[in-house]
Amino acid sequence: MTLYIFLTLAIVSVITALLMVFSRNPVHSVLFLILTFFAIAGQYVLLNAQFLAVVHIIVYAGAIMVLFLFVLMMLNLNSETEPQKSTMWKIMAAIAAGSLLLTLTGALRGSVQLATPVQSNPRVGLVENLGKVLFTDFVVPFEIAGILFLAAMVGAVLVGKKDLKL
Amino acid sequence: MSLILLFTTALLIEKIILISVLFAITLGVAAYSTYGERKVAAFIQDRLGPNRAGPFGLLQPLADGVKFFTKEDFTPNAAERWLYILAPGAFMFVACMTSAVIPWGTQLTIFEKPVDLQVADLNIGILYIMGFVSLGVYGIMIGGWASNNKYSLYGAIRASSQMISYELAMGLSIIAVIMMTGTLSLKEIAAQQAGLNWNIWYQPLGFIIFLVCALAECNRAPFDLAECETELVGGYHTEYSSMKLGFYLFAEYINMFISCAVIATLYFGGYNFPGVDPGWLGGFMGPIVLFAKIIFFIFVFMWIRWTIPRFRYDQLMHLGWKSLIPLSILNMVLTGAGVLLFEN
Amino acid sequence: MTALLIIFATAIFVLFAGLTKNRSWLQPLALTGCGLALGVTLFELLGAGPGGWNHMYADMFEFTDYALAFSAVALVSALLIIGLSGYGFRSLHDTLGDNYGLILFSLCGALCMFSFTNLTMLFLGIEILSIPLYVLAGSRRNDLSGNEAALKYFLMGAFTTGILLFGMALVYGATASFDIHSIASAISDGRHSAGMLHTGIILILIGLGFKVSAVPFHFWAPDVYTGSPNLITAFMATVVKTAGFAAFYRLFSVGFAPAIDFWSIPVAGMAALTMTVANLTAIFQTDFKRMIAYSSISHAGYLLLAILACDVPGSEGALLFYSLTYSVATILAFGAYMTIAEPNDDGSFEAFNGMSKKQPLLAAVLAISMLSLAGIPPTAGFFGKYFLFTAAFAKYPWLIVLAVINSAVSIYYYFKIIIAMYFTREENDYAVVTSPGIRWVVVLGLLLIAFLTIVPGSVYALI
Repeated sequence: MTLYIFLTLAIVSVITALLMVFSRNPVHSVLFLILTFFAIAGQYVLLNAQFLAVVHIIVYAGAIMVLFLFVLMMLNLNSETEPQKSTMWKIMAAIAAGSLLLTLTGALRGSVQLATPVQSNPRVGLVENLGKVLFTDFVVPFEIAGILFLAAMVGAVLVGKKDLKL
Repeated sequence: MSLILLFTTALLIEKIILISVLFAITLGVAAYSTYGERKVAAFIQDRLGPNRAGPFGLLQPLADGVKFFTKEDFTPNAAERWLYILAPGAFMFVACMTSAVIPWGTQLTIFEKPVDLQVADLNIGILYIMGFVSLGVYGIMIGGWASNNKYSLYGAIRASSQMISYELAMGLSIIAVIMMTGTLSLKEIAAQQAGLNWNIWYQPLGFIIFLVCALAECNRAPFDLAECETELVGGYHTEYSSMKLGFYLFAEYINMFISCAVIATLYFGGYNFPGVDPGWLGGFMGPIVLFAKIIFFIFVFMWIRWTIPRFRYDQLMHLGWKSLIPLSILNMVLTGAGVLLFEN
Repeated sequence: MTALLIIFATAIFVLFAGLTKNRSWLQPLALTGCGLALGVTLFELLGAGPGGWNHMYADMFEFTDYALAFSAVALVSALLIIGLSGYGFRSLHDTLGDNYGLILFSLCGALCMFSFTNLTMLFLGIEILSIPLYVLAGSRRNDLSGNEAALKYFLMGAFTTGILLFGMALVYGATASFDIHSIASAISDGRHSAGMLHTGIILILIGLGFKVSAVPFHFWAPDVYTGSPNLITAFMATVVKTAGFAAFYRLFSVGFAPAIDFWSIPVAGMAALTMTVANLTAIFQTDFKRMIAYSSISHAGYLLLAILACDVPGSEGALLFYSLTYSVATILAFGAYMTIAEPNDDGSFEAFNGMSKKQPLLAAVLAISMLSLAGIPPTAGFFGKYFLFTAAFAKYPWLIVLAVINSAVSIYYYFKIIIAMYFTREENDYAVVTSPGIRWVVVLGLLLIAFLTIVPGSVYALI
């Protein structure tokens, strides 16, 4: 049962990701990307990481992609404004990406996965345990991430600010 | 093996019945909210309101429905056809999905069998609601963009930036509740508020912030700038007609219903009422109490709509970013201090 | 950790101070913070030890001498760069505090990258280092090449971060740990999945290769270096490079040390390519900043030798010494370049014509820094190259031969500047604008180079 759900979600995510790349219209691309996020959130639920799944939806589908759509709609980008690349470039890009895919598949073929904490404790993805880990073992990265967000926020304000002479 | 199968099937049937009942109630309430809205408006403006269809005009929603279904379904030539059709459906779907985690009562005993009055007791219930609320914006954005009309686009952009802005304050005010209750599950949050031990006594500021944000999230007056008819014709659904328009209007009432249910559950004790055991009447007392609270809050929403004038857009953004977010952070800090002081 | 806390607190102070009307004390404030942090770091390094910070908080970081020494290098570079900022930021008004704040935040990221033991800390460090720089690279909003630089840096950086993260995830999948010591023991015990581990290492290699701009992942560097404001370019060429290499070395010499036979081949190839391509391209540059960009890529090639020789004792010291001399020389070069290129809006080599007569001090400084970058004895740069090459010689003699040939090639383009300053007859009427800040930095930098030249062993033997 789980395997079938996994396969369905995996196929959906790959197909929507491909559609996202191949769509001419940027707005369609964004919408397909949102579907991809949903499929990935489904995978998280399968791994018993409900918190991660729902946060993934709230943050990526609910906030970031809305901003993407926002910008696309504001700039009125559509399939006409999309730059047309020559077939040569497309073929070259496809060959390059295809070789990367082949190499990665070849390298990862037959590798066994080790026992990770997720497998020894299936409840680790639940919000209670996640919170405990985040505030004990990973408290330093958690706080350091605060610096990251503060820096990003200051940067965003700086990008939007006019340099006025006072 | 067959026993397990039987059990799962029974559970499945139970849930399907619950979902259907809930769905019917949601739609019914949404339908009668339109009637209620007009009656409240009429009362506040000293008029009579709808009174032709049936006794007291009670069949008015039915008449409206028939009207929506039989009107011409018009799609503009320049519209993005599939997205144009998809958008109202997506909006409606997202609105309906939210009700799954609302706990309607403790337990119902039907034919000696206990039945949980909640479709899904997710341990992240409140985040589930936040997730679907944040998705609600897509129906509006896609609809506004796909119509290929500048007024629709303006409306969509207004609606989405408003919803994103107010989601932040909303989330922060919910965090204060979560800090106090120590759980994300709505079932437990409701259970903790037995009797008159409601969260509103501990979170008055959080409640006010949440209420304001809920109004904004539902695009209700005084925050209904997305469909501000004096500036934007009809806002994001300018080009929509027939039942597609009906879906948009209907889904907004569903959103209002769910918002009121969440407010009642988070701050006003959910199915609890002092002196009333939610288990009375075979468990039906809980849903009745919650329903009464929801109706009250729907009335409050309508009351606000017909008394307070609309904001200007920059005022709306100032209120969201410069007042509500700092206030909700303050509320969070106060709650944290309170939790530290009184629980250790 | 103390240094990190001081820098972070300074950044916050500077942000708030930027809101006030009087902005003249922002630079002294930032300088004080950096100086204090440097003092504390040197005190911990030379005497007191890192205090109680080690082995706290689930061993997320480790303040070894290595981490402290590299922190000191980054702080010295930052001090010198902030010293130049009075001139470099002279056209900023309202956003001055934000700019200082972002530079200090970026420095926080660098400090995280020296002491990490957990891959999450490494990742966060890289991100904190990079994100402020994406903004700073485009801080001249009306400048088209600045915008191009910011966008290129951002897109490339984001893309690489993805690759790096993918690599980290695979390494975690292969060894079930984020801790570099556990990763090392999992690799040497054979408790790992080889295919996944090797793919992960290669992807991390690519990610870090982008960050330190090693060939073939260097394409962004020349455009970004040229387009960014001079001060930010100096920061990118020194602090970012030091942090990148220190983290690179730490990860590969501790975490992936048992797999050295696997990753040394691609790294050796990368080093050979980086040195050769960068030096050959640098010959044809006519713009000073572009030349410095390619020179910085070529130095990345030399520094990769330290990573190849990470199991040789003394390679740490060589990396440290090289980073310090390279950083100081580059900052001095930028200090001199700013005074001539910015007021005249000309960054070509011709702009330097006859500078020896107009500004003998600056010309001398620029000449010394060029000599040091080229590695001409007896400058500090020579000792840097000497330490580095001897460390790697036993294992990779062919690479060292290539490196020496490349160093000889590099003399050609570094000398172009010196020739322009001292031996060119046709002079221009360009004004040279200096400020007291620049003179101070130049003198301090000169003293530092002199110190490194006279007693190179003192720094080399520090770790």
